[in-house]
Amino acid sequence: MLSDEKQALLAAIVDSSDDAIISKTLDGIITSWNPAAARILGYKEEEALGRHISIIIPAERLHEEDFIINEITNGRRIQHFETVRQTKYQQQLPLLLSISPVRNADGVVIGASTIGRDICAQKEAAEKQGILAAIVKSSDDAIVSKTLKGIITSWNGGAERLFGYTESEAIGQHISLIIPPDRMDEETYIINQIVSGQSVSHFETLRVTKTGQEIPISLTISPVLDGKGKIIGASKIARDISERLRIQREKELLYNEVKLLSKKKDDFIAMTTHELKTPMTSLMGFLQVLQMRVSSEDPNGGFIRRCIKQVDKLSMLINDLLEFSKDQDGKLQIRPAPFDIVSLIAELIEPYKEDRLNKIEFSAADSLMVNADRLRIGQVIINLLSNAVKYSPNGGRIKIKAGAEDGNIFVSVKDEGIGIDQNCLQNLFDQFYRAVKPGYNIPGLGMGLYISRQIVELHGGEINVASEMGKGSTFKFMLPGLPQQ
Amino acid sequence: MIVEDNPDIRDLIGFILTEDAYQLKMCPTAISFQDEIAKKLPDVIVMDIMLPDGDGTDLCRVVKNNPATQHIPVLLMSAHKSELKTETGANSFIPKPFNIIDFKQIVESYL
Repeated sequence: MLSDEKQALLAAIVDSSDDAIISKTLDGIITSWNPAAARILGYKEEEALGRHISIIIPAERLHEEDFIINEITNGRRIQHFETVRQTKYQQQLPLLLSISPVRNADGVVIGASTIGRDICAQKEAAEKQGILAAIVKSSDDAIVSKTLKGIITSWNGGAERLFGYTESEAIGQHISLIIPPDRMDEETYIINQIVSGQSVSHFETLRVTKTGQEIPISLTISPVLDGKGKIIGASKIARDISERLRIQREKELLYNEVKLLSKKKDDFIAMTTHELKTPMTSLMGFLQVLQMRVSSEDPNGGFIRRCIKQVDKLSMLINDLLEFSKDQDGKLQIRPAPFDIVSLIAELIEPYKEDRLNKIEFSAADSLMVNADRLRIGQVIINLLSNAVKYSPNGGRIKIKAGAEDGNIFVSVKDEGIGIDQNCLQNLFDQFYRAVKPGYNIPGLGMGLYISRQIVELHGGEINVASEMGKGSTFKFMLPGLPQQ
Repeated sequence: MIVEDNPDIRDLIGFILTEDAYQLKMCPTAISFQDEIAKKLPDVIVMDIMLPDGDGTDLCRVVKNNPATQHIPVLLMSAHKSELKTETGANSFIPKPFNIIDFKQIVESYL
C-alpha cells in the first residue's frame, strides 16, 4: 500500500516535471517518456516508447551514446553533460543531461534514466552577456560600475586608459579615487539621483587620473538593478571630452579672429572709399565746369563727355565697394514703408529711355503697393536694369513686368543679351562672382547681384534667374505684397 | 558760407556759385567757421561733415540750437551718408561726388 502510494507520487512528480525524463534499456530502447519530453522533443509518448534512443541523437553525436551506456553499465552516473539533441522536427536543441543507472531488485543495472533540461534560454542569455561583456571591454569610453556606497565593482579597458588605474587597482576602491577633492559633493548628487531611479546624462565635469591630471569628461550614469528590480548600484560611462573642448576653443578663437579681420577690412574699405571720393568730387565737378564752357561745336566736348562717363563709372564702383562693406558690417538696414512699386519703376526707367541701342518696354498694373524700403528696392531694380543693358552689347528689347502672384508682388527684367552659362547660374548671386567670359570686356566687381539678393531677402522675398546662352536672361524678384486697394 | 577743408572742392564750389555773383565766405576749418559766423550771419551754410578740427554734424547742431542762427538753412555734404548718424537738424544732405547742376539747384532752393 505504502509502496503503491509512493509509486503514484513519484509518477506524479515525473509527469509534472519541467525537465524531460526518459528511461531506456541498456540496448537503448526507450521505456518511459514523460510529458515534458514530449513537449521538448516533439515525439508523443506512444511515438517514442519502444523506439531506439538514437531518434533524438544527431548523427554526429551517436558516439556519445556508446560512452553513456558504457558508464551506466559500470554503475556510474553522468551529471551536467551539456550536449545537443534533436527534435522530431530535426531541430537541434542544447540540453543539459543527467543520466543515472536503473537497477533491478537484485541491484543489477538494467537501464538508464535521463533527465534533460532545455538550456536554450540560458544559452541565449549567456551569449548576450558575452556580447555585452565584449562591448564593454572594447569600448573606448570608460565604463565603470559601483555599489550605492561608491565601491567600484567593475572597471573596463577604457577606464584603464582614461584614468590610468588598472582593473585590479580600481576594483574594491571607493569612486572618490577619481573625483577631485573640490567636486566630492557631485557624488552625493549622483547617488541621490540613482537611488531615486533616475539616470544622469551628459554631466560634464572634471575627473582626476592616477597621475593627478584633471581631465574634462562627459558622464552618463544609470542605476543597476538586480533580478528583482532593486537598485543595487550605478554604472557610469565616461567620455573624454578634452579634444572636443579644445576644438571648441579653437573655433571660438578663429571666429573672433575672422571677425576682427573682417572688421578691419570694412574699416579699411570705408576709409578708402571716402578718401577716393574727395578727389572724385573735384574731378567730376571741374569736368562738368569744363563741359559747360566748351561750345557745342567744339570737338573737345566729346572727350569731356567720355571723361565724365568714366568718372561716373568709377563713382559707381566705389559705391559698390562701400555697399559691400556696409552689408558685411551688418549696417545694411531696411526701413520699410508702403509705396507704389509701379511708379518707382516708371521713375527709374526714365533715364534708360534715351538709350537708342536698347528698347525698354514696361508693362504693369496701374498701381502695386508694397511695404518695403523704397531706396533699397530702387537699388535692386537699377542693378537689374543696368545689368540688362550692360550684358546686351548688341542691343535688344528689355522687358520689365510687375504684377501680383500668389499674394506676392513680382518684378521681372528680361533682356535679349548674351545670356549666362547654366553652370554659372547657381553662383550668380555670390559675392564677387562674375559670370562674364574673358572675351567680353564688361566691367564690374561682382557685387550688384549679391547686394540685390541681400536686399530682397531682408524684405522676406526672393530673387531668381533663368537664362539661355545667346538668347538673354530673365531676372525676377518677389516681395511680400500688401492688401491691394 | 562754405565750410570745406579740401581746397579743390572749395574752388569748385566757388566756380559753380560765383558765376551767379553770390557772395561767398570760404571756411577751411571748424574754427574759422565759428569765427566767421560770429562776425556776420550768412543766408545759407554748405558744410562738409569731416573737417580737420571738428565734425560738421556737431557744428550743424550748434547752429540749429542757437536762436540767433537757427533760421539759417544748413546743407551737409559728405562722401558717406552713414556719417549722418544722428538727427542734426540739417535742411538737406548733398552726397559727394555731386553733379554741379544738382548742387547749384539745391543751394539756390534755399536762397
